[in-house]
Amino acid sequence: METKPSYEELAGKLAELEEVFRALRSQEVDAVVGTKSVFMLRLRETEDAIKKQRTALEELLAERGRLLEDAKARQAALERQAAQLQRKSRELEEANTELQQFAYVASHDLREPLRMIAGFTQSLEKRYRGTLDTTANEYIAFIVDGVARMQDLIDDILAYSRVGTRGVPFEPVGMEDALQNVLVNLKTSIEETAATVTHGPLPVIQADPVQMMQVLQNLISNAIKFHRAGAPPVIHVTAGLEGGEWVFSVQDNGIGIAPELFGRLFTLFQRLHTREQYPGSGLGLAITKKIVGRHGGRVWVESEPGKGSTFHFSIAAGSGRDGNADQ
Amino acid sequence: MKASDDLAPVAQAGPIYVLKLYVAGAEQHSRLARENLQSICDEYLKDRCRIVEVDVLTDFATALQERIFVTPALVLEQPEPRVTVVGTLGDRGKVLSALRLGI
Repeated sequence: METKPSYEELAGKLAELEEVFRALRSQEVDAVVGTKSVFMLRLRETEDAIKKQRTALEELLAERGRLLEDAKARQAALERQAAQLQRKSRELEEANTELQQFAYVASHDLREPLRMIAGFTQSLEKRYRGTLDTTANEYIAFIVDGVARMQDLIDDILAYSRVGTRGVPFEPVGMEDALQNVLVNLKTSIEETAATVTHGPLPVIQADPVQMMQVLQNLISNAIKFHRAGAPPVIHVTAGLEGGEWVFSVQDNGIGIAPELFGRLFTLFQRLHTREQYPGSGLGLAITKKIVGRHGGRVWVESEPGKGSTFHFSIAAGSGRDGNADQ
Repeated sequence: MKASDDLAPVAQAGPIYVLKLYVAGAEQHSRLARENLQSICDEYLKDRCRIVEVDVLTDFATALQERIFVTPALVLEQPEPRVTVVGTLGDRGKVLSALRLGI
């Protein structure tokens, strides 16, 4: 057994302990030795590290806050823009509808007075035949010609405005039958030009039957109209399935079109030739484009001047869209 | 330093000092303690001072035996009586008086 420690020994131990506490308090200590291991005391470093991390985190938080504010502001701006675009789009739609109606009403109403001009000019010609001089007869011929041209133009404008307003719901359309009907309609000009029209197998598609005939008739009558002098038109109609849609092609051996003019082809009233060279209102391809657009498809052309042109248009295969959407 | 001028002759004539320094590897305070002790020895115990270093990270059994619980800690082993100083030994006056090198 140990003897009881003396007063001096106790005082010494106490002094030692005090020393240890002082060192701990003043943080001059690195490690505490335990019975099984050593505990490192990196108090100040740890505190500094914690402080640094805290500052970094606070900065990060502030940065995040700023980013969030920015994102919110941007989102608000985008929403405003979207609303604006929606408004614009609605306005445009309304304007478009109005314009279509206007074109329809105007062309419809123009027909009546035109008919009157035509009628009275004819009466004039009949009633005063022989009493008028050559110049007057010439003038009357000009008037008759002008009236005929204006009638064509009005018919085409009416046709164009009717694409959206008078379209019927889509139904199965046998394109071979449609083509045969078109060839009957074009019988005269085919015979006049000694044209040959052939075709490959054509499918049954979901479409507006009248409008499909209009498209085929426009493209084929163009092919006949723009034939090369001395070369009777040879026209071939084909169809092929490409990526879920039918692509119809009307190939001719006509005068062709320079590539730089392709862009103007499908625009309203754009004529590449003078009326004297080739008659027509300049609306045919615009109507074609509008019809095909109503069917969710596209129209495009490949051509080499002097060799011929191929006009393509695509129509969705399968069930197809219901065309009422743009009415 | 005025104190060192007064003390130097006394110290030079004294006995050999055996000092045991308990450190924790190369930790900051242990490094300071080592430097401070070296500087005291160089100044007051030239050629009659033996420093034994005990690293508690590799040998904490010795520290436990000697009842050293924190590092850095300096133990004056020789001459007797044994004295312990804990900390970085930065308070030179206090260390000197503990080592009985001051007055």
